[in-house]
Amino acid sequence: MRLPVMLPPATAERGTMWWVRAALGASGTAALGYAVFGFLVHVPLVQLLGLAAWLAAALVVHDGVLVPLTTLAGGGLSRLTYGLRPLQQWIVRASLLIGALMTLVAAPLIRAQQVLQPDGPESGPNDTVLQGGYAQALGIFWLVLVVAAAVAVAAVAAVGLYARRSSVRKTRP
Amino acid sequence: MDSVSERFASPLRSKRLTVVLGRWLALAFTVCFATGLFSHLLQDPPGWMLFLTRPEWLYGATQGIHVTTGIASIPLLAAKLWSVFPELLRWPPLKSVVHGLERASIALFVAASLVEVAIGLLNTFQWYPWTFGFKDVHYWLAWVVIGSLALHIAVKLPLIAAHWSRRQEAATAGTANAGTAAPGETAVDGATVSAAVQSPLGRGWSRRGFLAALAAGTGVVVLTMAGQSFNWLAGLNLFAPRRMDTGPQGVPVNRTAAQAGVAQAAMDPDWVLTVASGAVQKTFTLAQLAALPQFSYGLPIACVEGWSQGAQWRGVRIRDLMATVGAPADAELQISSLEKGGVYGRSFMPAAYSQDDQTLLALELNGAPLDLDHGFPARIIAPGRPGVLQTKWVHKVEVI
Repeated sequence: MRLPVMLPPATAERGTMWWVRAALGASGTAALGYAVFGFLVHVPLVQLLGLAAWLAAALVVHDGVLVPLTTLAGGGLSRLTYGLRPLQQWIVRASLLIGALMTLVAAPLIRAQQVLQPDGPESGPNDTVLQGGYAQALGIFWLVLVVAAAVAVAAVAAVGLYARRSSVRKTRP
Repeated sequence: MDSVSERFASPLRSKRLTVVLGRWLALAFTVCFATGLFSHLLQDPPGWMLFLTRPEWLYGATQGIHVTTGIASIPLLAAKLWSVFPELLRWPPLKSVVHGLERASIALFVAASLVEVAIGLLNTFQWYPWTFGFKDVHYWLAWVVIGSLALHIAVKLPLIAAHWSRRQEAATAGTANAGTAAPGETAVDGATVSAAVQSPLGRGWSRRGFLAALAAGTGVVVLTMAGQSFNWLAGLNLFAPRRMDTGPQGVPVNRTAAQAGVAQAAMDPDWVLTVASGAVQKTFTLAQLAALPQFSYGLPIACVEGWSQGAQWRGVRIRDLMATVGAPADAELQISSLEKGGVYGRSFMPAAYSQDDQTLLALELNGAPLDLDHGFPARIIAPGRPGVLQTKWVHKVEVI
């Protein structure tokens, strides 16, 4: 009589989790099928090959270059900031992360300015696109970030020193 | 090979972190998909499409949200993929056919997501360093991304549920230690949970510390770029490809007259507008159009590339114009530009817009005759429509 209890609950009542997973799985598969149909009907084969190259390159660049680099940077940072207080380490890491993210998004704009304007091979006369001085703005952004982080790290050190001194004073008879 | 995987392991990388990042990214992708689909439906409307002409800023808002959530998903996607990177290096790479299929679907999901956000970003500044058409590929890739997302959640749902909140995670870890969880997960989960819970600011950084920094980074990226779409952020616009209140007459241009190759035809003093309904056809010179009743409205021009700009437009109501040739009230129109071919060459206007008070054949912008780059001698401006459909350099309006 113990056997039915041991069996997987294939015939038992299916829980909410099962139904949610089934619905998500079915709609996901349907959406993927619709996408495959759309690509085959609406996008010429030559363009599909171009897209496949971009998809492959995205995986190689992301998984092969970007992530290993960030891991290396993270490891190096642990050594560089060894001995700093946890809050100071956080300030250094957070500033670098913010700067790196801004650079990641701004880099294509800077590159596009070089390629598209003012005299690039694909140059267009539309001067209401890419109007900003993105390279300069990014430089200033990093400068402000570094200064702000340095001030914050120093402030944490100063507060820590002050707290230690005042606690020392209190313990004196 | 598992040692390689372990080398990339970090106390920060945990299932709980992945679940939190996954929630943020799934929300961004879903909003991005929904707003993108709305934009697509406005441009290629099916028969059942409901066209909303109010509020006038609706499309500017949805497309601004589309581009902004797309930009926000770049840091979120990077962080999410970083959090699961050791999974890529797990050994053996293939355990079974099902495992192989799951890995293939994840590879597709990752590649499609990366390419989708990358080409979306580049499109906002009209840079196309690829050999495929942007519009179709961006649209169909969106279906790949959203379909893969649903499939991925379906596969991972038990894990997601187990790590949804810290309390649930602790409960799972407790039962895992009691020996009832799946083999292989016990030790990893137990270790990462205690690491994440116990060291709020330990060596390196904690989960919350990382999430706070990521939120700050994403916030900075969004705040310095969303000013192209939302005027209350225009003052912080450092890195967006577009600036508000710039360009001829203080309005940015998507496509110049030179790019469209219409400068000569548009400046021709013999230009006339042809208005047609069935066999009835009339022509108007610019002076004749200016002699018709003029109306002025403040309407935003909102581009699919995500920028928008409020402006004051003045001209003839399309409704009045069509009445001169006896067009029926529910007429759908075809608007032809002096520009030949392409997506800008002509547009279709459903009755919802052609009957709207505020839909104009504009002759003036911000108090002066239209600049050549804004569509001189006459252009369409309708409330709540994508900019690509606000046809410039109009030379013919006809009932279809």
